[in-house]
Amino acid sequence: MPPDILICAVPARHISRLPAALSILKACVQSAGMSARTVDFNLEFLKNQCGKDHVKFEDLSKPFEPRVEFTYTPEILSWLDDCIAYIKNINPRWLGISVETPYQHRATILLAQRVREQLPNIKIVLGAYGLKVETQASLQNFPMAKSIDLLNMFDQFITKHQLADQMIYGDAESAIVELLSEGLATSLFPSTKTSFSSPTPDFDDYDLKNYVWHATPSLPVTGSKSCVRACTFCSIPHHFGRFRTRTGEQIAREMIELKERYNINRFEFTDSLVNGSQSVFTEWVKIIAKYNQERDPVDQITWLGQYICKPQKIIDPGLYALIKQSGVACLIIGAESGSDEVLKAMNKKITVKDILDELEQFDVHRIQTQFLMLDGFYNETWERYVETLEFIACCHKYIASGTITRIAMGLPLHIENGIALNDQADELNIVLDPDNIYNWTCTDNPDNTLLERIRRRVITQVLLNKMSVPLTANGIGELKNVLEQLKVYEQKLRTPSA
Amino acid sequence: MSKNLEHLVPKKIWDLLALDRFDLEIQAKCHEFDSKWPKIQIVVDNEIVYDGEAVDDFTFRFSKSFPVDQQSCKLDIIYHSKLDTDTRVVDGEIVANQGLDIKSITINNIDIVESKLMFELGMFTMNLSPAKKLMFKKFNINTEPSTTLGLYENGTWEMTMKLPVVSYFSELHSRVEVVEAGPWEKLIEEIYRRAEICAQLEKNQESTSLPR
Repeated sequence: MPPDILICAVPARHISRLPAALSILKACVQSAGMSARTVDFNLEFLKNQCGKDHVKFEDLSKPFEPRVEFTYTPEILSWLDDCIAYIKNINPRWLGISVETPYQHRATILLAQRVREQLPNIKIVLGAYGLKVETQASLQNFPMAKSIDLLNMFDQFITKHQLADQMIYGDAESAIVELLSEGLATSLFPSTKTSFSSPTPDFDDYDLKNYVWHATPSLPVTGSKSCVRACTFCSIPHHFGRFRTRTGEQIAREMIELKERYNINRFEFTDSLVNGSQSVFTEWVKIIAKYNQERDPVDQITWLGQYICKPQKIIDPGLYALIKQSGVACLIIGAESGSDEVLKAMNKKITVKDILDELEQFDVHRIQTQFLMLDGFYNETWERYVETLEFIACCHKYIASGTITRIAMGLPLHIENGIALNDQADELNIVLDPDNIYNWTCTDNPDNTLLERIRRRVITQVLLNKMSVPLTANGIGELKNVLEQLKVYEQKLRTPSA
Repeated sequence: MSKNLEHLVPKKIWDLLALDRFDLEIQAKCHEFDSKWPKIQIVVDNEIVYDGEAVDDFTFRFSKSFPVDQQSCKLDIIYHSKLDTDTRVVDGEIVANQGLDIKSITINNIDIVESKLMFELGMFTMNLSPAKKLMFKKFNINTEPSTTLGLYENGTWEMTMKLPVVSYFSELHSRVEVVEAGPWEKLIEEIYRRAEICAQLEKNQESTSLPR
């Protein structure tokens, strides 16, 4: 019996992580009394067009990526043929394409066009966060975008939450919007302003063994949506609205159920913060810690997720031991800066002391962390920058003890649409460059120019090198990006009209 | 490589890192035999910094600074002078035994026992009397070098570390991470060089746009 809907993910996305949305959507659709199947066409590309070779995948999936010149490669053409054959075989009434990031825009368009041409009776629906982000970069150098005015289509989608089909071809059923739009879970399941519930994700159709796992297979878990903070450099609240969370009991039960159903012990939280709600976090951590205590180490649950440091006065001292017992593998922490003044301007609602206090607790309890930093904030003076260097130097001990496994510097601050800094630019005396999100200045802190921010990024890297902090492939990519920015800026300076 | 750019990092940061420091603390629980405590030597970089008995809850502290250009250093804990008669066995059971259990070794505030770094730095090699060797062989007891924390036979725990030690420990922890060696170091210099060019171009523009 053909399913009502086939929900898919498309290239290019990570091949070391499962596309979580498909499993949740499938469970939601089934709970609504309809039938669904899922397929990860990104993984199919890895298997069929790249012979499961992840290095080849990096290369062959490039034309899907933003900014890259697009050409119909033999691999893309054969991938499209494979997708059509697959969809034809399943014969769903609907095809749902989950678009998590701009890296999937091109493949989404290619697939939607091909389905419309060859399988005209199948209705197409697009969803997910990737549709809400700007398409300028992703559809640059992509000729098909102009032919169907997709830029405009995406823009309409952002504001109206309509179906792609409705806008391009005018034959969509608006009812399905309710089912597959961002608001899906909230419309199907009773929720309040601060909470939500959703059924246990269904990974039955996933080809789990063929993902390129870094260490061990893992399943995604979503305990909360959006964020409790409103950091001025972050677009999460803008895109995801108010913070909503499931109960700790629901989260823990889901992890245990999935572990027992799929025999996978490792979980990766998709939450902006696993401890956004301290009470919910404590609740599920307690349940998982107890579950683990009753089992052999090899049979215990482990997990990783993003975490925010908080003052010691609001943390139960017993919590760290529970976090450890619950099988934490790594906490990813946005420390951002070593300057309290910068943290304040970021609206992080924490101090450097709070971070160092928690770090000491993590060290005592052997809890591994990764730190994310953000150089060049608009109020970062040289003195405040040096405070950040001091903070990094203080971390040396924790890196050596293995408590901090990575410090990721990221890119110097860039001010894009959707973040508070962009909205407050005038108020904060920030002068934006409409052509370059990296090239802003702040008249209250005139020394903090693009070049100075890049210089500081170099200095930080020199320090990190001396401390033997590893530069990952991601970090190298970011530095290459910085170099590209410089080249663009240099070109601008050399242009006579500049 | 980025050594050329090290002057850009403020001196106070290098001072804070104290990369030349070697602050050592060893804690051990020691066991006597007939009032005879274990005798040990602690050797840092071929210099004997402790030579004597290790008594009860033994703690030893030592600090030194290494020249900035020194590449590596050694730390040896030598257990010596234990006699074959310093162990009492009754009906095949050891009922009294001289020895010591290493509880912690902290270097620059990093406990290398707790963090398991110690086991990547070296091993303990027994130095057995011929009679003990024969006996161990007879009872099939392993005498190969090991990473034991319990020192109950004469021998040497030898540890070798690159300098600066804390950076070396970081390197040991991070070596499982994905690190692309080589070209990225040049990348940093290239970024800096380009930034300098841009700064010069900016300066030129400013000077040409000044009112005459």
